Amino acid sequence: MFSAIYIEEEVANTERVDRILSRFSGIPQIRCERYGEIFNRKAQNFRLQKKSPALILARKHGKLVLPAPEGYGFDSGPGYYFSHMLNCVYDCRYCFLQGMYDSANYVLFTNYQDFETALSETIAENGGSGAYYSGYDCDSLALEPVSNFCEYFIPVFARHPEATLEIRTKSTQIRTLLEMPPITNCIIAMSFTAREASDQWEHKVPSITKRIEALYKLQQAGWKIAIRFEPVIFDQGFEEAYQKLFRDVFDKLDVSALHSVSIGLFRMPADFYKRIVKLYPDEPLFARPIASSGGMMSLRCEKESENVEIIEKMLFEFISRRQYYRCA
Amino acid sequence: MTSIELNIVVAHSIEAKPLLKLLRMKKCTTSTTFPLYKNDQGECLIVSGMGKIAAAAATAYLAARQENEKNNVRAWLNIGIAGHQNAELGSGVLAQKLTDYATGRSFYPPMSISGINTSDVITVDKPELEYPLNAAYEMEATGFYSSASRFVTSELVQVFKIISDNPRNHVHNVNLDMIPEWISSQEENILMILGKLKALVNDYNRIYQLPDEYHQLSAKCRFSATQIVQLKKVCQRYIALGLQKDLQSRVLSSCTTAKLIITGLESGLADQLLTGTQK
Ligand code: SF4
Repeated sequence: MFSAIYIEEEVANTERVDRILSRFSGIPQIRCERYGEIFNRKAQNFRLQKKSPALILARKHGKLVLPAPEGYGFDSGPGYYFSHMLNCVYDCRYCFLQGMYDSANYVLFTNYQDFETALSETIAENGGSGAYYSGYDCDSLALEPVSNFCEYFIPVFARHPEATLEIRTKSTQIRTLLEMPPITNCIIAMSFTAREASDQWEHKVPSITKRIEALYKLQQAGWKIAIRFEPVIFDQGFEEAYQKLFRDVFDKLDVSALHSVSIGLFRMPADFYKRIVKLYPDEPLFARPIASSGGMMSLRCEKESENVEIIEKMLFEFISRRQYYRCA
Repeated sequence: MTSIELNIVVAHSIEAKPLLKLLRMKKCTTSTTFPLYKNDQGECLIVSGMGKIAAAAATAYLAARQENEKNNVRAWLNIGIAGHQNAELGSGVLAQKLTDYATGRSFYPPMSISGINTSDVITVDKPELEYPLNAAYEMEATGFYSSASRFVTSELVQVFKIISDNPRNHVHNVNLDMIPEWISSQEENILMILGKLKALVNDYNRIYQLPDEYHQLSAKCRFSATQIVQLKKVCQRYIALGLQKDLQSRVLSSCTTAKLIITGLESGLADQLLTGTQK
């Protein structure tokens, strides 16, 4: 699973770290001072590293809960994100993380108590409420058997019932959630692209069918779920592809109980995009014409607004407008 | 014959000897500063002399010699003997962490090769007599690593040490005649490391190698530095989109200035994409 585990001196011999290490006794365990010595150094190739990534166990310093980028989430009120992990076990070709970091290694910050304190303070500053997003710099569920993220943070949010936790994922690692009593202020938001796009670009990601199955089980168990259709890429035949995807998703689930459904287009900060193009000069997706606006790159599409309308119209055949929002 | 893009750096001719035999290498320079050997596959071995500065210099020297050789990059491997607190004589370890004892600076070669025992490696300026830590002690690795990773991505740089002394068999008592034997006994591991590095570097070169058409077009006239970047990018886009034939036909076109070549390529690509799959 990992080529090696690097352990920051500061978190060595802590309970969480010892528990993780005991599961992986057969692979090199290497001490380091700070995770930056390994993680974001120059002279690394994300793409080669992705073939045999290592796990880095570290302590997160500085601000642990940050304002969510504008238009990121479902709530127009205050939104924040927190990242107990950097990087993802999956390998979506369109993922901005490839352009954000030089390293494909996974960093797991194990000082959960500090995150809890920071979350509690931020929640208090917001009168007990606010939306808190996990899964911005990683996939929060994908490494659950190692991270025990849900086991720790769901009870934290159970103590703050007015604050909402969104766990954004493409993972089917739902066993911990199914073993816990559901809480009403946690939303499991599953991301999808149409099957052709998923086959082409979502490497190592569980199949659409398996993701729908996981959502079904969560919904049956009483968890609130949400659907994120992103990034939508307007290839030829996108209407049929999304029509089929919507049918597959919404036929299986209790649509009226869905927390929210959103769509988002392919967008990425220009500097991340440039780095990704360098990393994947052979990737047809990045050889397409692009448009740049306000420091963001998107795939050029003459009929973008019309196409979004088509998608939205199809979507409203399944869900109510009240459930929908458009991701920036 | 496919070439193996790989360089090996050793400190001593006594360490080189079994490797030259294993890899069928022959001397290819008359330089006495850094004796250099090569085989039919293009693998090179350089003898640096002792110490981290010599290792760094030999690595830089070899990289400079190969600079104009081809479009490709090479993987780098340092092989040598080391002392160890508790590893057996003749055993081999792949470096997982390199520390320069004098400066305290550490390097972490990415663990892109599995299946071999690993160890911390500490580079010292004079032989270590006490073996205080659970690590391999030697004199070249950090010089080699910091130099080689200036030329290639660090996934392609590795260090392999073969244990020649430990607290029970002190460094002063090392039997020099045993060194070739110990290295030969690690042939299987050495060949495995070379094989894995070769696979990685071939992968890397396949991805990042520029198409022949780029070289043909860039030879047609003078390009500024900016235009060279533009030319590379547009050629790579043709290849990524499966339009190699169209790119080839552009090579035959009569454009004679860099600007015309680039605008021709870009508009050709735009036409192709218009009639292609973009909605
Ligand atoms: S699942 Fe999300 S975070 Fe992971 S690679 Fe795909 S897009 Fe990136």
